[in-house]
Order: sequence, then C-alpha cells, then structure tokens
Amino acid sequence: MSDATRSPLATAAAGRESEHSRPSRRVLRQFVRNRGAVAGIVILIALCLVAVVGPRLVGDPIKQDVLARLLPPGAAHPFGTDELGRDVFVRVVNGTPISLLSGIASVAIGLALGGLVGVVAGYREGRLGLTLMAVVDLLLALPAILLAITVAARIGAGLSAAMIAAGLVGLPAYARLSRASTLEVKRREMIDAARAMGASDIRIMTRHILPNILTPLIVQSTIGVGNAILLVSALGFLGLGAQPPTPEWGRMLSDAQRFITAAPWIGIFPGLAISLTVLGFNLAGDGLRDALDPTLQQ
Amino acid sequence: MSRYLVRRILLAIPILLGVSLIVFLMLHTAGGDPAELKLGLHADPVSVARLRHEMGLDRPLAVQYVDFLSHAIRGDLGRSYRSNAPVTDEIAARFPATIELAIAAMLLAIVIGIGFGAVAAVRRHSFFDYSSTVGALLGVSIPTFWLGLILIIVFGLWLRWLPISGRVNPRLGADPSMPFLVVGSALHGDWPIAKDAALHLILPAITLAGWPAAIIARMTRASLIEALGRDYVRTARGKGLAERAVLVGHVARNALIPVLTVIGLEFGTLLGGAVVTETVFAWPGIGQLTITAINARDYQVVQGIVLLLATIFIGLNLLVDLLYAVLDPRIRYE
Repeated sequence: MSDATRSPLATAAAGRESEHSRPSRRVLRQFVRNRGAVAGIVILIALCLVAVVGPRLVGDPIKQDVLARLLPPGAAHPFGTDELGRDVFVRVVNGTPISLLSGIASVAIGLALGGLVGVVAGYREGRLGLTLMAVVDLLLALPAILLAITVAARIGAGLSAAMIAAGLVGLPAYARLSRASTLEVKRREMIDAARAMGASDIRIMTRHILPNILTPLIVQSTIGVGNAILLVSALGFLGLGAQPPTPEWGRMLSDAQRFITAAPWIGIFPGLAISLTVLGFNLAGDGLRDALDPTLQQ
Repeated sequence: MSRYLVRRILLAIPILLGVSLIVFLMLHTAGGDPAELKLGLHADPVSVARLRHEMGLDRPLAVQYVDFLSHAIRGDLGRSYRSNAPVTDEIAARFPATIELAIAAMLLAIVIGIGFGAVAAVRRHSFFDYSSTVGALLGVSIPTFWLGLILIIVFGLWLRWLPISGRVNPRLGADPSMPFLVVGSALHGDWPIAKDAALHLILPAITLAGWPAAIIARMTRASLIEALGRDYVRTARGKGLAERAVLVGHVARNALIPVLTVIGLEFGTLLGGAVVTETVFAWPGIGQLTITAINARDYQVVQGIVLLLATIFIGLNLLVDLLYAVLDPRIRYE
C-alpha cells in the first residue's frame, strides 16, 4: 500500500485488490462528512425527482394563454408567465430533464471518445499514441465556447448539435486523464500476468486497464456534467442550441431578454435553475474528488 | 534558454496549422452553398455555377485550403460573403471593443481573484475564507449570460445606476474609429465621453470577470497554502523575519507562478466568453459579429474570427510557458 498515497487511482486499485469493503466505506465516510458534497447530492437527487415526475405533474410547457401574458409571479403562476402566456414554472420544470440529459449525454460522448483515445494512446505509447494525443491537443487550442460554436455551425443549430459540441469540448480532458492513468496501470504485474496467460490487447485494455482507471474518470465526469450543462445552455442562449418552443433553460433566457424591462421574472427563474443544477454537480464532484483522493485531505 | 524558446515557438506552428485545417474543413463542409445564399433561393443554376467558379468554390477542398492558407499568412482572410468587405476589415472594426472589454474584465478578475484568494489562504478556516470559497464556487456555477441579465435587472432597471447596452451614448458623438474609447477619449481630454464609456463598461466587465475571478481565487488560495507549508517558509520564520517579509519575499514569489499560468490561460477563455457577454449587453465587438455571421452563414467571417482567437490563444499559452521558464529555471533543463 506504499503507493496508495500517490493518486486516487492507486488508492482505488489497492482497494479492489486487497480488502474490498473497508476502503469503500472510508470513501463513503469521507464523502458524508463533507457538508458541501452532501448538499450537492441532495440537490441532484431533488433535480432528478423533478425531472422524472415533474413534467407529468405540471403539464404542457407550450400551452399558451393569451389572456395571461407577462403576468408577474403569483398564486396561479408561481414563476409568472411569458410573452405568449406560457407558465414559466411549468416550462422550468419541463426543462429539467432536458438540461440533465443534455449534460449527461455530452459527457458520455466526451468520455467514450476521450477514454478510447486515451487508453489506446497510453497502451501503445509509440507513434500511434503520440499522433492520437496530438490530434486531441488541437481541440485544446481553441477556447471552449468557440470550438462549440464552430461545431454547432457545422452541424446546424439544435439541441443535439449543442450536446455533440459540449462533448467534444470535454474530450481532451478525458483523453489526457485516461492516458496518464493507463500509463500507470500498464506497468503493474497483473498486466504482465494477463499477457502471459495469452490475453489479447483488446482484452487487456477492456478487462484489466479500464476497470482500474475508472475512479479519476468518474470524478472528472461529475464536474464535467456541470460544465457541459453550462455550455449547452450558453449555445441555447446564443440561438445555436435548442430551438423554440423547446423549454430549454438557456433558450428561455435568450427569449426573456427582449422582455427584461417588462417582465424580469421570465429571465430570473431559468437562470436560477441552471445555476442550481451546475452547483449540484460541482459540489458533488469536488466532494467525490476529496473523498477518493487522500492526498488532497489536509 | 534560447534553445527552449526556439523549440517552443516551433512547436506552436503545427498546432496552428492543425487548428486552421480543422476549422476550414468544418466550415467548408457545413450545409448551405455560399453562392446560392448570395443569389437567393430562386437564382438560376447557371448563375450559381458561375458565381461558384468566381468565388473559387468549385475547386477541390485541398486547393481551396492551400489558397486560403497562403493568403492568411499574408494577412488576407478573404471577403465576407455577406458584405463583400475584406474579413480583416470587418474584424478590425470590431476587435478593439472586445479587447477593451476583455482587458477591463481581466484586470478586475486579477484584483478580485488574487485579493480574495490570498486573504483566504492567510486566514484559513475563517469566515472570510469560507465565504470566498462559496463565492468562487458560485462563480463557476452561474452562467455568464444569467449573471449579466441579473446585473442588468438590478443596476440598470431597478437602481438605474448604470447603462445596460452598447459602448457609449450615441448622442455624445464619440468618434467611431477610436479603438479604445475609455483610454482614448481620456487622452484626448474628452471627459464626458470617457466617463460615459467607462460607465458602459462596468456591467459587461463584471459579468465577464466572474468566471476567471473564481478560478484565479481558487488557484491563489491553493497555491499559497501549499507554499506556506514549505520548509523554506519555516526557515524564513525561524530566522526571525517579519511575517510580512516572509509572505511577500518567500511565499508570494513562489506561489504566484501557477497563478500566472491560470491568468494566461483564462485570458484566452475570456476572449471566447466575450461572445456571450457581448450578446447580453449589445456590445459591438467580435462576439456579436460572430453570431451575426453564423446566422447569415457568412463562414468566411466566422473562420477569420475563430482563427484569430485561436492564434491569440496559442500565443498566450506560449507566452505563459516562456514566462514560466523565466520564473522557474528548472523547467528549461527538462
């Protein structure tokens, strides 16, 4: 266990190799003791509940009521109504699954592609590895929002374009992390053992390396979902993401801009929803990292 | 040192070429034929074909790319599909406004970030530390465009303290060709315009500064705490140096190297983020130009802007690396 203090990877791997229950219980204890992390998990559970049952409870997000346009928040409409007489509360609730899923889908895209590139680049260190990483590094040479804008311009505005764009923005981080972790795991005896038993490269990568590099990837992904949600909503705000009448939060804010003097509440609540969601993922991600990485505890 | 410098500069060239290729391919394979767009939906196919030929769009992509590149090196980024003006002119007319906003925001972010981060590190576990950590967390969780809207609602609409859109009140008759309005007008002794432009700058600058201020504060705090725990700090204290001398002379010098890196990287990100902030405040910079160009499928302009910002971004990374090597001699020998 001498290398257990070095990285989250080594700790997790050591946990898996020796006694299974104690380190995981330690991680859980660390996590629960962190008030921020618990707050993050509570926020995320609440948001998931809203996303699953909310839309069925509150009804149609595009139902218009021409007699109730731009009403301030009140008993009938807790968040007020927009310029078409649509209930802002109903739209914010219906936007919850859209934002959560778009954030998770973006990370899934970045994680799958980045993880694949990183593991292969780490496993095959030579020319193949260097070429793969050079291509990945090109994605880092553009500011995130500009890369996303270019991708969205290429695919054409829409929610799926925004998700792909946010996924590509996150890709280099997952690729670099997987490569670094793979380089470390590759040197372990168990890999030599697997090879001696005749395991193929693909089997070694998927069965032996992948399970051992998951921990840092999970931490990165949790924080990544928050950032992806920010980026997808920014593209929605710029008109390059979700299109009307989809109740996507960023898009709602962009529509709200024109009525900011007459009805500021149309803009306040969707933004509050984005902030709360991203805060939840950031808190949970920071908490996970602190719990899984003993070197950061002071 | 000079060998390190040359190697790092040479390394930036293939990156720049790769980025230009990616951006070129993405935008030139995007839907919508520029010739067709220019002539309208009901143009006859013969004229469209002729215009495509005149614009050089019927050549193979590889030829078009090499042609584009050879012009770009000479500072010619082609002509806008929309206005037919040179892309460099379109960018030059808008870029100073973005730079003015970006520099104001970065200065604000540096002052707030280093100030809060440093006090939080020195007074660890205090109420101040706790609040500044929460503040930094909010800074990376709140979307820029929403922060902008809230500032507009509070300071523009409720309190009516500050203007909420544009760079300057058009009735003041500011010279539209002046690149940096605040500093430029002040230098010319044109105080009403300088003051009005400065007031217009406040809300967008705060909006754009939110994210980098949070990142800089986090990095300053972490880096100072690490430096405070080092042996040489104990030695410095042990030999009876005043706490102020320890902090300034020993801790700050070492702790600020990573902070400097973050500042360099965030300045590039900030230029990108300006696209969003400019949209919120109707700030007449290249962010607004980007969105207009994308909606008009004016990909020549989009390509020019993306490449310009990528070049600046790569240049900043290079500068940070070189500064790093100057400040930390160990790096040069790796």
